[in-house]
Amino acid sequence: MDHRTSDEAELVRRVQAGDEAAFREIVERYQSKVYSIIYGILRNHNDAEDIAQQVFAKVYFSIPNFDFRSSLLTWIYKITVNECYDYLRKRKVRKLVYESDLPEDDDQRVQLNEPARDQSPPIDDVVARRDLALKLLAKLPPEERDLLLLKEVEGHSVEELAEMTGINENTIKVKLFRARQKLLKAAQRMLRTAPGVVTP
Amino acid sequence: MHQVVRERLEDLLAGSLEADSVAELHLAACEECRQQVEAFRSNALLIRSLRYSQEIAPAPGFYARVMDRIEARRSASVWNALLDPAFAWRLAVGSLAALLLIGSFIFMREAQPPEPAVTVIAVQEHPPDLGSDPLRDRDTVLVTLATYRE
Repeated sequence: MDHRTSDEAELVRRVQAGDEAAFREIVERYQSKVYSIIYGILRNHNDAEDIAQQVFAKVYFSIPNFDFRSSLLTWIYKITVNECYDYLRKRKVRKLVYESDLPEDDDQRVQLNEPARDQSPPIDDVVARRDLALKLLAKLPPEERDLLLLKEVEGHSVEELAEMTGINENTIKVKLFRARQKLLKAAQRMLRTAPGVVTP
Repeated sequence: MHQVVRERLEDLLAGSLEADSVAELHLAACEECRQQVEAFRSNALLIRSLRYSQEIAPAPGFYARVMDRIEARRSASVWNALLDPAFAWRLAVGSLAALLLIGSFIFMREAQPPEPAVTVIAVQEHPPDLGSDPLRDRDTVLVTLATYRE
């Protein structure tokens, strides 16, 4: 797919020409998407707001260099995930499982002394699994991490990924395979060094 | 992992293959591939724990807050840029490289042996006969000086 001809591309060109209204349109079109991606990773509204602002500021300053090789959303997605990982690196990857660190909906359940909702695993397990997923993904190069997240978290198919990134399907499959192998090795290493850790 | 499974791994993990497909039939017979696919599947499920099904909008006025941040970054002074660790690091490395270049240039210059001083020796093809008559000697010297050519 040619990313130069979509209406998204036209919007980008207008921003590149200095049209602030076009930038506003981009923010309004993608703000919920970006906010949800960040919230999905960090589960904290204050962090999500702060990082989402940071993402769009970065989009504003970097859009002159946008080269239409991928879709605008894919490009913004990459910036978003990178910002989340920068933030986690600065925080030295948060420690589990303090109540204050619980996601807000789980936190409320703990405060009200409610049992976990039907069929859902215990809160500690949920938080620990998310934490483990973040730690393992941190071991991957950004490109492979983004692809895995787009595949597993965003639920895109290989064909969609090829279209979004401008990379052919076979290469996407190879990259995903490599990413999965690295993830598996990282998980095995982690289990060897910290046997108490939650298993995938 | 065998090629037949590797090629269809994404379909296997997505559960989109027919039960009688070549890859599924291979898995039924190959323990090693089955274990690997199972490990990949549990890792995929682990990553899916980051999925958040609802789309959440930020609080109203988000665009204005983004523009405030952009303005703040635009008006950041040069001093802020100097205080930025990445920039400061690049500046330090650049300065060190410049110092090394200048230092090595000076060292190389001083290490070279000095060139012999150029002395002009006036050689006369026929040295005058001096010493017999002081008055004549003076005239001879004056003539020599007047006709001297480099």
